[in-house]
Parts: sequence; structure tokens; C-alpha cells
Amino acid sequence: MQPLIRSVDPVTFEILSHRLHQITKEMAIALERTGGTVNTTQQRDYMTSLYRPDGEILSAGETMGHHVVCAGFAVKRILERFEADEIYPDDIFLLNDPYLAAIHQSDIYVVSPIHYRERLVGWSATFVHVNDIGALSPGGDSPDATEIFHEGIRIPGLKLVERGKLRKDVFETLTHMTRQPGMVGLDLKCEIAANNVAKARMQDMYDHYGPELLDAVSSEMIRYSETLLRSRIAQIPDGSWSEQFTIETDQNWRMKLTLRKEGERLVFDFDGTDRQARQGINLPYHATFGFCFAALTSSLAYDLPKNHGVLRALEVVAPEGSLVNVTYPGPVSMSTTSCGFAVAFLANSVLMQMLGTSRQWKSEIVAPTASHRNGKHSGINQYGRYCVFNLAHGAMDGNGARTHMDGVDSGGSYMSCPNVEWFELNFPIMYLFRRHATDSAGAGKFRGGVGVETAHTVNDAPEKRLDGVAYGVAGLKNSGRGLFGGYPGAPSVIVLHQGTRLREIVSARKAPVEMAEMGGQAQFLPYCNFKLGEEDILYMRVASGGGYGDPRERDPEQVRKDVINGVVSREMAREIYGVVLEGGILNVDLDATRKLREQSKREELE
Amino acid sequence: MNRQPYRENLEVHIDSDGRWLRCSRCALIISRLDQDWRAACKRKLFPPTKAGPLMAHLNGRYVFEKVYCPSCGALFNSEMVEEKNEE
Repeated sequence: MQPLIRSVDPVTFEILSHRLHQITKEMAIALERTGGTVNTTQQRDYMTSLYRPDGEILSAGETMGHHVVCAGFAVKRILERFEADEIYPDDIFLLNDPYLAAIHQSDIYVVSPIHYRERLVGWSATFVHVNDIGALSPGGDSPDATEIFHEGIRIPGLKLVERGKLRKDVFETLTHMTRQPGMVGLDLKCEIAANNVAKARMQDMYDHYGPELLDAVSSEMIRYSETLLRSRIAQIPDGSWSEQFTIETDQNWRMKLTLRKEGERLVFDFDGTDRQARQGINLPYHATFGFCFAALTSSLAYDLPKNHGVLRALEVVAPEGSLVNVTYPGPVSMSTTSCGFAVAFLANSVLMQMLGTSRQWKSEIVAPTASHRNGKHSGINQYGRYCVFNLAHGAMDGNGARTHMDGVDSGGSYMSCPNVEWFELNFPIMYLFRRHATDSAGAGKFRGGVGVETAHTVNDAPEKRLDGVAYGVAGLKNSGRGLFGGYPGAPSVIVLHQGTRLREIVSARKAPVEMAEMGGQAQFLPYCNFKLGEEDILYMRVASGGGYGDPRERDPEQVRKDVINGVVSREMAREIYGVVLEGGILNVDLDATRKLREQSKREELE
Repeated sequence: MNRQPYRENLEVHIDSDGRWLRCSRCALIISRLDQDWRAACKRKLFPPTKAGPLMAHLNGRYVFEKVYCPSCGALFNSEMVEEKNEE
């Protein structure tokens, strides 16, 4: 048997490959510390990564795996647009065209060539979801957009920095086309900072180890990931697995994915997916590819160096002009959190079905999530300044159950969420509550992670209101999906309660924590713009994890603990888990529980 | 080895006649591996709230489908399905 690592010794390989990964982490630190928005400083809505001279992925950072692929496309597009003799050391390029590499215009890729002794030896890249991009709706996600021209500036590639000097004319042109030039300027500068860190560290490595060794390690890293992943795929029985999903707007948009496993290769085929929509939920092809890559790197390749070797083992087929391969001038502004997360769900679901057929990989199964609704606000803040901010609640969804353990409560699937105090300090809102939603987790032998529910209102806003945008995955089947008999998590919803009794309740010095007592008119929000006033409340519930296996097989003692912790009600404990609690919730009546479970199963099957 | 896992409570059984899906609890052969195993199972539909009280929003548009082994009642799958597809 040939050794996996051939051209360098294994110790050097480990040291250098981890050092390359460490550079992507240091880029992230630089980006967070120099950024200024919710997205960069709190939410980790960014990506850092390294590429080979031709744009192949060398080392992916730890956030946003789908953007790692898209930024690789960005490098390739820059290489196509600029001649080799136009790419100078210390240049930095910018691109946000969704038809070329980005997912929507709010995603700005900043890519930087890395030269060593005048030779192009690689690229670094970052992505930041900028605070505004001059689209119809503040913040970018624009429910009313019907074509790309409604969704902000679109840049196919330009130099933001030339030979180490910031191009002020370009910088100011970009920032002045947004509603938040200061914040967007910080977004761009923190990306430049991260790329500068990458360049400096890479050049240090080239000085220390020499180009021959570093190039050899880079090639080995990619070959290592590809070889190991292909051998893992080959161990799984051949087959095909399918999944479907529907996004609900004014009509139902259907997506379908079939995974074919053939030898040591995986084909993700989206044949059967609907034509692209006239609303910005459509996903570009490279993003569809990116979400499939991310699903693979978090399952079958979770412990491998995340680089182009993983990508080589998969093929993605997406019909042109469909929801998963949009063509010009189809709108895309809400695509990441709608079709993007739907593709992530589909890819994860078929991969989990595939892993279920493998003795070796079955324990890695996680019930997939079909994600959640999200929202953002804009308006004048308590300091008299215009602001745009993402609520980021989706970062508190419950994770799916596994074959041997419950899902993580409010574990989050993509990003991080700032604490309540941070939000209230920076923006004119007041939270009424942020808590685990009782009975939201998908029931199962192992239950899903519990998701979070929140309610907030406008507070101390000079205009006494904020504008809002509701986006995310619209549809009542969003949330965690049950796996192999496990039940689904409760749907994620955004509900606007207008004209409530909130101020009256607060004046009476009562805690406003029960939505049923708030009164007013409740409206479930589709994709839309809305206004939130001082008498209004925005209630949001994110996704909860799906369960695994039959809930009637769950350890009754675990159900008792869930009831004590307030994540499962006594009624759900009895009706769904078939657990009889006696003496309040102090003890499980095991005999009564066994009889209730048998009776319930008998009645169900009659 | 003449058996492989397939999913919770279902496994692939291999014999001289081919590859079959069977219940891993009672060993009942459900279908050939390349056939739609769900069609051979016991299937029951319930109101969405059977999966939890917060599913009430789905009433009228979805029903909760559970799929069991026709012999021993082992649960193979459960999910919300569109009501109109079930009429």
C-alpha cells in the first residue's frame, strides 16, 4: 500500500498544513477586530480562505463553507478579467456579481494575489455580508425586487487596492452608493486587513520554508483530502437517495435533489427543481455547488483538510434557469437564506440517508434542518444615526438529533447571535424575552435541539418606529426534519403583533412575557417589508432540531428532565412520549408509562 | 455478511434471490431494495398536532404521516406531507 503522503515527510506535512489553516483563523481575527457591523463583529457572517495560483481551494477557514467555493470562483473570474501582467504584488480585487461568483450583491468578495519574489504563488480571499448595498430594501434582502437591477450595485471585478495603495475614487464610489457609507467602508477595510494578514503570513512561510517545500505541501494537502474522501465514499454501498423541499411565497416553489453514489464519486442532481422565480430567492450555480460542498465537509469529510480535494469528489447538476442555477436578470437578493439554506437541507438530507446505509458512518448522522425565517431592521437609532441591523436570531436554532444523542439546544447552524444587551445598547429595540421555546424540539428516541423564541419592540427611537424586512426560508415545513421516525421541529415563524397592550402591561409593572396577554392584531409575515411601531411586537421563533427514531422509545427519565427544564410540557410528555409522571414531576411511573406506550401504539395501528 | 444497515428499523438483506429491505425488528421482508418500500408499509395520517402543539399552524395544509412495519409496527418514518396530495 502506498503511503498517503508521498513527497514530504508526514511531520512537516502536519505542521505546514495546520499552519496554513491557522492563517485563515488569524485572518478572521483581524477581520472581526477591524470590522464595525453586527455581521462582522458579532455574527461571524464572513469567510476567510486561501487559494492556489489557479483558484483551487488550498485551505478553508472555519466559517461559511459555501462561500469558500464561491470565493474560488471569484479568483478564477479575476484571473479571466485581468491579464497576468496586470496583476501586481499588493493589488487587492473586489467582486460581488452573483452571476460570476457571489451569492447576492451584499456578499462582497475581496481577493488578494500573493506574490513571492515577483511570482504569483497563491491568493487569499474574504467575504463579508456588507451592511447595505443600495438595493430596494435597506440591508440588501429585497422582497419587492423582481430583477437584478433592483438589488444594488453589481461589480464583475475591479481593483480596490493597486500596488498597495487604496483607490479612494473606487472606495468612495462604492460606499456612496449605499445607505451606510461609514459601515460599508469598515466592511471593505476589514476585508483588506484580513487579506493583508494572509499575505504577510504566507510570505513569512515562503521565506522560512522555501517555495519548493510549500508548493509540495499544498499539492499533498489537496491530494490527501481527495484520496481519503474517495476511499470513504467507496466504502459506502452504491445507491441513490432523494429529497424534496417547498418554499412558500405567493406560490409553492419546489426543489428536488437526488444524490447518486457511484463508486468513489457523488453526484448531486437537482433535476426536477422549478424554474427560477420573479422574487429574489434564486440561487446561482456556484452557490448551489458551495452548499453541497459545505454539507460534505461537515459530514463525510468533517475531519479532513477542507480544500479542493473534497470538491473533486463531487459533481453538481443544476438545470439552467432554475431556482438552483439562476440566469440573468433573475433576482437573487434573498437567495442565501431561502434557496441557499433549502439546498443545504436537501444536500444534508440525502447525505444522511446515504450514511444510514453504512455501518461505519451511521453514527455520524444528524437530523437535517430546513432552516428558519429571519429579519432585519433599519431606521434612526437612539443616537440619532441611521442604522441597519440583522436580528441574527437564526443563529440560535436547535440542532438535529443524532443516532445516539439529543440535538444541541440553540446550537445554531451558521453564525453567532449577539446578546440582548448588545442589541439594546446599539439599536433602538427592547427585548421582551429571548428563551427556549417549550415543545418546539422534534420528538424522538433522541429529541432535536430546542430552538429559541424572541419578542421585541421599538424603544427610544426618535421616529418611534423602525422599518423591517422579513426573509429566510418561508414555509410551514421549515425547521428541523425528523429522521428515521423522529418528528419534525416546530415551524419557524415571524409574527407581527400590531396595536398591542404592551405599554399598558409595562406601566402596570408586569413582565410582558406571555404573547397571549398582549392583545392586538397578529399577522404571519411572508417575504415582505413592514413597519414596527412602539405599540407593536415582533415575535420570532427559529427552527428547532428534528428528532431521531420513535419518541415512545425515549428514556422516560430524559423526558422527566426535559419537563423539569421547561423544554417539554407535561402534556407533550404524556401525549407524544407516552410518559406518565407522578407526584408533580418528581417521578416517572414506569409501569403506567409502559402500559400507556403499548396502548398508544395499539390504537395508532388500528 | 448478508445484512447491511439501511435506516432505523430497516436493513438490507442479501440472499441468492437478490437484495431486499426487511424490518430489523421482526425480519419481515418489506420489498426489493430497488422498489418503493413505503408502498409496502402500513401508513397512517394524523392531524399535524400529533407531532406537537406548536404544529397547529399547519392545520388544513399538511397532515402528519407515519410509516410502520406492517407486521410488528416498528416506526420507519414520520413527516408532514401536503394534505392535497393525500386526498
